[in-house]
Amino acid sequence: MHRLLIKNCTKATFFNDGYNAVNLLQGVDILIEDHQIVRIDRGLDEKEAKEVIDATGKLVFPGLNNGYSRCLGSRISRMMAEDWNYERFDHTPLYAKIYPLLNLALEQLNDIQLETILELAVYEAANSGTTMLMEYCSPREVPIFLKLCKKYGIRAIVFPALMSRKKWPVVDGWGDYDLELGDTDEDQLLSWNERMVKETKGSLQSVAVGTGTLESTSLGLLSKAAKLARDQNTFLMTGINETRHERDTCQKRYKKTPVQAMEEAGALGKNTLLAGNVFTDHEERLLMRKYEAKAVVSPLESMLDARITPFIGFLIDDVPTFCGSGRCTQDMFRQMHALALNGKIESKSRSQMCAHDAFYAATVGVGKALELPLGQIEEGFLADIVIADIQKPEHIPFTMPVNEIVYSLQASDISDVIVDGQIIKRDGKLLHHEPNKLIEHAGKVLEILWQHARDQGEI
Amino acid sequence: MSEKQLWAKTVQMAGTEVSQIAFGTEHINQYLPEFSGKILRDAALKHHVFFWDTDNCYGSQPAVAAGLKMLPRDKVVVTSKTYADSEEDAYESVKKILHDLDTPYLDFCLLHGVEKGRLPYKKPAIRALKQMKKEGLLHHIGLSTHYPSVAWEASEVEEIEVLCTIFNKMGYWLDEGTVDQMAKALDKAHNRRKIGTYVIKTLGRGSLLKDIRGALNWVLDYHDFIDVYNIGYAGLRELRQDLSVVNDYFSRLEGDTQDA
Repeated sequence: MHRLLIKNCTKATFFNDGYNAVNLLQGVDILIEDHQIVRIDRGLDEKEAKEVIDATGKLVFPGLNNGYSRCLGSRISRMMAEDWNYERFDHTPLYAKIYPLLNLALEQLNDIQLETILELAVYEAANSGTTMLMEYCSPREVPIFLKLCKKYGIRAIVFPALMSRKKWPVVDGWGDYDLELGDTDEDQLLSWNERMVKETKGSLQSVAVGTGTLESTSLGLLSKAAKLARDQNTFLMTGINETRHERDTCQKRYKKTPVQAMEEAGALGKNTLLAGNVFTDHEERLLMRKYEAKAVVSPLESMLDARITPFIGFLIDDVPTFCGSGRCTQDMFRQMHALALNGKIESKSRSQMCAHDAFYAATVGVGKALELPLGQIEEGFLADIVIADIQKPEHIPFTMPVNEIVYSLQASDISDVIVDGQIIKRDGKLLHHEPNKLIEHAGKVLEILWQHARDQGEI
Repeated sequence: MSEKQLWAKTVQMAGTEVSQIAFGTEHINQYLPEFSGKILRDAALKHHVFFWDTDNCYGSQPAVAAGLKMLPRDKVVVTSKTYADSEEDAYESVKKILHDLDTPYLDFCLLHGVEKGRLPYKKPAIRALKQMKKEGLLHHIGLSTHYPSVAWEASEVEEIEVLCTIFNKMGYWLDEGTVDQMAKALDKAHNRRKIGTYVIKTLGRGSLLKDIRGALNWVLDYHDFIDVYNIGYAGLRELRQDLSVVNDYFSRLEGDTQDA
């Protein structure tokens, strides 16, 4: 039995079932036994623990959960996707920049090279206090991603985007979209997914079921994937309503909105996670609520595309909603910050959306959606914990911890990270990882990728 | 604002001296406990608002605990609340409250937010609270509710010494009933059954902020059966503003009475 004691911290967490009821305690100790938080009180005896972290002057809060990460896409298009004029391409870099580069990386790079790039993202996540990644990726990336999350000790649920086509959908310079379906063996894909789900069930890094958007996935595949998820008692994640083009395509093909098409395919249910949601309208949200489906939003991604994600709309329509990074940085502090600002602009009110709402969406909101004891620092919950050093001039005066987390804290403030009761970052350093070597290897791999991209006119 | 306007009156509620204004602590849960504890301390020292209202679910018990350490315990009156139905849950709940507040006793312990038709199911919890009262863990037992029907029934329960209800001009947050019905229930409790009464959400939890004076004066017009006005504050600025409105009202009342 491994016991870890965090001493004398300031703790910030949601508690009980109280939405937006935050419990703040100063000078408190947290005892962790194996995977779980077992005691929270003052004056716990250090002799009770094998390892002690002195958190005097530090802020302790639940590990951050990234509800929708797209690690490979976020790395290879990093910075390059932003600020360009994509008016011709539905005001989004997805089809014109991100998916072409993704397809290129998956075609041209071997597994070791892909792993190097993915490791950049996983490193960033772990280093910045993300304790769970819910990754949406191509099937090929799945085993690589699982291996990396295991190496870094991060909790992960991987959703392979099963599609009815081999590549992510792209648009050429003339505005012609490649959206043909039908060149994949759907049953083989499903069979592979089922095997991965079974092999990883109960592990810290596990596989669930996923599909591409309605642009790249047939209703037949969607229906079978949904059945697979139900039969395996796991979750189904589908990208949805990220672009207007997707909605238009869905309307042309199926005469329905994306969420309506999901309903027709029998893919809406309590275990359905719909990610993206920039264009999910009120009627669709009511449909999601009817089937108890959950929503994931990526506010930074949509704001970079000059759009507002309807997060407040989802809350008003009573759809459980949480937050993910999408194609952007894995740093969840930036995502929470963006979510708070997104909500204020969306509601045209400074008080309807608060820091607490963003903090909820990245912590306990995920735990509740997945029905896991996750996202709170309370006895009986899984020990995913972040410790931040706030004894810095930039954090003084320090009066409102949750506001500090959402509006001010940065990855560089994180001194320690604990996942499932194991320390993965201590005193400011990720354990057992050397960033310099990673940077060196990644540089070489990326140069190979850029050469291919130049050869094919993608950059 | 004069000093007199900013000093809360003392009234009797269920035989205990309390400030006529209670500090609803729900909104100070966002501050570090020490920071908000000082707000409560100063509310008591500078404005005589020494009746603090908290709960297991607001997240403000740490703030109240911090405030209690800054003043002699017998100079502060604290309410907390429990959702317990069973005896066991009631004991657990009060034990946790006392631990979280780091205090040997609670002045008022209320059955929290009792819903329509649920009062009979609270009997075991009431039994437990009665026993804890004998043991000195709490001084008075009460009930809070959003339902006028429950407020009406509560007066019939011998153990209930304090009734806490929603009461505001627009009936915001009232469940299944009218403001008039709630007024009647408060009148019955206060004047016929001699139960202490305090009202909450007098500003509709923020919905009536556009006319604070109007909203508070409307509630104050029912002073014949209300002992205490529990107003939620995020800080002392709001407290001072509301205190001046309340004291203004009673000063005018006294002036009118004297003239008469």
